[in-house]
Amino acid sequence: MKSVKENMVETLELPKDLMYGASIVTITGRREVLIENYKGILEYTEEYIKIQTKNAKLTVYGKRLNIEYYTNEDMKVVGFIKSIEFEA
Amino acid sequence: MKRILRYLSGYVRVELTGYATERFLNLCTNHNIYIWDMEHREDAYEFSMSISDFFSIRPLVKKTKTRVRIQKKMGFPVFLFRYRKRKLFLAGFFLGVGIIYLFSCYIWNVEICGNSVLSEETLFRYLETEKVYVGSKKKDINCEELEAEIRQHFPNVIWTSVRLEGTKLTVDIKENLVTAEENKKTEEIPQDIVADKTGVIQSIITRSGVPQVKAGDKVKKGKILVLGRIEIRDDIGEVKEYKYCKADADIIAKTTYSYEYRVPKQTEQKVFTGKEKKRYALWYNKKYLELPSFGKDYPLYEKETEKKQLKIMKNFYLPFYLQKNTYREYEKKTHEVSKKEAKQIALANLEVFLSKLEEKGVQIIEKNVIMDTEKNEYVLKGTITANEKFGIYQDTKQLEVPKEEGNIENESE
Repeated sequence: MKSVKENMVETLELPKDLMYGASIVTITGRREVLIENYKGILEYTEEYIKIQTKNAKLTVYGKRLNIEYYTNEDMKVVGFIKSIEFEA
Repeated sequence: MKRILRYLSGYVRVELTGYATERFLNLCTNHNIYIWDMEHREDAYEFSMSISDFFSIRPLVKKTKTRVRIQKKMGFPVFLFRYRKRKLFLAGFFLGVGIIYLFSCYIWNVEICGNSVLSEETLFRYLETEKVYVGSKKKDINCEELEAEIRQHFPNVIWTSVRLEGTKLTVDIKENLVTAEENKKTEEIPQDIVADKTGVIQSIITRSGVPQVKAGDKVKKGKILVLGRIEIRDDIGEVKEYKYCKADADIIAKTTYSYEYRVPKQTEQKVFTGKEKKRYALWYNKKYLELPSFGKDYPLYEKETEKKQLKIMKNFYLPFYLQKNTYREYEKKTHEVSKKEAKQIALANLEVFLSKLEEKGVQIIEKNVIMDTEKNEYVLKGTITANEKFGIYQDTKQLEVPKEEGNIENESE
């Protein structure tokens, strides 16, 4: 059973990232990950980057991870990416 | 683009250590502080940020109990600050740029292409009167106006193009080689054909005018061959009037050329010793400076010079010329010429003489040459018989028509 909000978003075709505050993760090959709509960095080491989004924690695992830039809206991670994982 | 902007505004490379480093990074994003190229390094983060942002992170550092340390300062403002005391360097830099700009305002070379009848000298002289020469300002030259003026000044020029490339001015010219007007003019003037030398007429075909000789006649120089004046007679046979035209005929005559060539028995010859020296010289505005060279000068030498204008790149000519002088040493040696050698030389010369005649359209029938030995020289003498086109044009004498008054008088008597 879907909630009223979900129904509305679906029928009106509203952008989901705005309505749910969902984050957008764009992966380009094995080298680049672009993360939009996040709240902050929780941990950052060479092996993993833990990021707080609105309703989940996102972790990018890899080797030699670098943050090319990061602003309020988006951040770009460059390195050898192994996996991306969500935690409740 | 982003990199250039970063470089121009200047940025610092910062090392971050301490207790709540992640919190510091989150605070930075919340305060709209832009951070890039972040790296993690055992307990420390390294990242770049702009100089102005660096001054505003003090309170954040205090709040999160972290430590920031500048690793490197980069960018243009930093570069200027570092070299602030090197004023002469800066002055020199701007002076260099200024000089290049100033020099590029002038013409350093003028080139003329495509002229065949007009000599380069006359064109250069004309261009000089138009204030276009090496050293004139580029700004003062209007290419299109110059084109129009060249065409006006030289009526033979049917097309011109003036181009400025860098500091080089190129003038392209097309000349009208068929001078139609001249041909017309000569046709209108009545002319005779006159013998230009002595000869025997072989054949004569007249197209216009009255022939005065026939085949087989011997003519001397100056004799009229074809008359450009035609007599028109009335019934009685008296001249009523004269009509004039330009005589035109194909006349072939047999002529003789005498030939003589002397070869001295003793000649002086230059024998190069094979030694040569090169010296370089610089020209600037008619001033000449030869660079000193080592060693003795040769007592007898031939000098060969090569002058070249110095230039930067392909089109940027400088007012300096480099001259290369090559000195070749030689010795004088007297050489006894044998009769055989002399004959060879003389015959080679004869061959040249004959081929020159043939080039002019002369057909050689016979040649009689004898080798003679005189006191100090050998002489090759002889005559050459040839068939050739004959006659030159000369203006026709205009004659008065014999007046008819005499006739009238007779009748009245």
